[in-house]
Amino acid sequence: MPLTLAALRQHGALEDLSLPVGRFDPRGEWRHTYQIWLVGNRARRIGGVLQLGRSAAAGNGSVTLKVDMSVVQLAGTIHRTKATLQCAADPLATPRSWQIESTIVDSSGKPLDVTTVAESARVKDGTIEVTAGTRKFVRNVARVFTSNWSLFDAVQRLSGEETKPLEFALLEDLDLLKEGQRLSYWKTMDFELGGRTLRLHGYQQIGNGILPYQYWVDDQHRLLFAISGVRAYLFDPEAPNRLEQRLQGPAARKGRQKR
Amino acid sequence: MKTTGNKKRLASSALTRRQFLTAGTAGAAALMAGGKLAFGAPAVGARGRPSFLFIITDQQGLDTIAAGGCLDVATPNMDRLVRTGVSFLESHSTDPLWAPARSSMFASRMSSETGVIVNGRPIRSDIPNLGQWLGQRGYETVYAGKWHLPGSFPTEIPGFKLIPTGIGGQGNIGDAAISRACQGYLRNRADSDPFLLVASFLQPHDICQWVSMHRNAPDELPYRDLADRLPELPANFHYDPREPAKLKKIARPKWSERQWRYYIWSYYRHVEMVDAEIGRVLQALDDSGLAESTIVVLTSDHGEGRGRHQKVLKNYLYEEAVKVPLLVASPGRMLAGKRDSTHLASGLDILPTICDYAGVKPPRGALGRSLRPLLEGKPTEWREFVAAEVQTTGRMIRTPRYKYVAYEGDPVEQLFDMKADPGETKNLAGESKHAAALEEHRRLLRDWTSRLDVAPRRATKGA
Repeated sequence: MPLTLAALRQHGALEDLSLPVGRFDPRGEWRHTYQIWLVGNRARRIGGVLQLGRSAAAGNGSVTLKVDMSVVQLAGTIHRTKATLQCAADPLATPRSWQIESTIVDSSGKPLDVTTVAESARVKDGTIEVTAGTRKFVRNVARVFTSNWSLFDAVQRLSGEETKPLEFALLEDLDLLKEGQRLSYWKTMDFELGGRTLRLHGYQQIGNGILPYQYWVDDQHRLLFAISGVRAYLFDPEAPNRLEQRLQGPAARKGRQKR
Repeated sequence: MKTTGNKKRLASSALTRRQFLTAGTAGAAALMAGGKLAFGAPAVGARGRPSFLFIITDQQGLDTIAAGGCLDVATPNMDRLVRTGVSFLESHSTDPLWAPARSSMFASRMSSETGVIVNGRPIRSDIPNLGQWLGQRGYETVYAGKWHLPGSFPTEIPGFKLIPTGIGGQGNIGDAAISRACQGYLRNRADSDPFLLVASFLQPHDICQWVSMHRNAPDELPYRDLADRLPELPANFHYDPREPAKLKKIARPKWSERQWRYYIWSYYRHVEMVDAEIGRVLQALDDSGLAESTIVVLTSDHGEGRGRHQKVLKNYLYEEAVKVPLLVASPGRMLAGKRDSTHLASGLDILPTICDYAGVKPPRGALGRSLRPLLEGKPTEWREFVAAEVQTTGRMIRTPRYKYVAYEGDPVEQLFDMKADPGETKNLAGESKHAAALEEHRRLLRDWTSRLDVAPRRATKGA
């Protein structure tokens, strides 16, 4: 069946989640941790971790998003991405400048230096000026754009049924430009999980170069789940420990031997 | 200054550098026999020769690129290769399954010869792969992404320095690691020797999971915004049911027209995903100043059903599965914006083409032809037909006009007039006025098959 919240529950992906309770201010400071949960023909399991934090708006109206993402590759290496984004305090949390580093690290945590990409960038007059070491590059960008990580912030500030659709280009991972995106309200539903009934508000994103995203926020506007294709982001402060357990577990060792 | 800095950085992290090199060293060691290179010719100096960026996608049909005329997809990066290079519109996979097709790309031999007739087998040990061949001849050979000969995402590949990246079944997130690793390699490389960098992506292969997850999905669109975006059904959705038994065994989803269209729409989003990753690598080539000295080759292992003949996935010999993109671009070195719809091309041709530009002879026994004269617009005698096979039991011969398909032990043959019926909707094999064409193609197939150096059959099954 297509990957939905109900399918995730059926796969057992939601069983041990400790979902948050209490008040949440999407315009304030927060830090969320997500499992990156992957479903394949043979495996349904945690495949990585996304940690995302937001600072409150500064005097100049900008907010800062911090990203730390690890995705386990089949051969046992990890693709690690760290980024800090200064974003406009607008509905899309539009990135204005950023620093990003991507590298492949081996199973002991050592980076394969040859794979490391470190960049800083700033948006200026419809272009992005990128600095990588001593080199500078200029990229074109759409007038209205945002990043995939900004959207995790942005959907928490949408207003349910009252939301007007947002249209923009996606700068995925602050690098890959995907035009023609549309983010809109989808539906509200009650969802039973862990003995609780969650009232969830769903938004959908459709556009070039992505499979449709479902974003689910709770009544406090906290983003709990995002689902796209065969991938889901599950709110889970324990995600780093779970990933570590997977990497140290017998299945991982067996898999490495098989390869 | 940059080179020095890079060298210092690599030297200061000897361990990680060594780890990066491990697979390549192991691969090279495996090639050495008694102090001689196992496959013959000595290594030669490599200065002044072009580098190669070889991009492989997985499960991408031929006509899935916007600049090639597909109206249902946005592929600005592959469009760029179409505009700046040569695209072959009669480009065929040798065997429309992952590993068999790849074995042909890297060895220029049919899958029945490499021994990779199913997934999860290595190339026969007496046949060198492209990495081994160029690695011995002065090229730095580097690989990132899917291999599948035998391991899908292994920890070492003979003849290549491996950057272990990619995730089985998860091109949606694993391909980013592959493109980032290639981006890093291109920006950070310190050597001035030419290179062969293989960027082997998984997308749009995730469509396999999509199909699996939607086989029994309810007949409704999950997202209302999709309703006015769905592509039309293909013209050959309805097909000639007089098919060989093998084709009937491959289950066709029992979807409504809307579900079929939703599936096709979803497939093109997968194609766009890999296009974006390709864009990252091409951009890195530009950023690093290596674009002028590098020839870019892009192809795929096989196509995808997309509802043509009401089929999904691959592993059969209809055009949607067997035709794949083949783009070659290197501005100033070859024609730009040329769409070659005349010459029959094959995955076999990639290795000889790269060897030709690298200034080395291809390995003995290579079946392919160098595309170089076609790329440069020079007159040349070209082949009269291409062949493809599926697990050695099904084979096809494609001539400029006809396509002939036969499956072992199956009395139903297929013959299509590809000029009059490019969608393969009318099987002419039983029509007397095409009897001579049928007999001629049977003969071509017999002759071609008899010339193959077929690998011994193995008892074990592949993945």
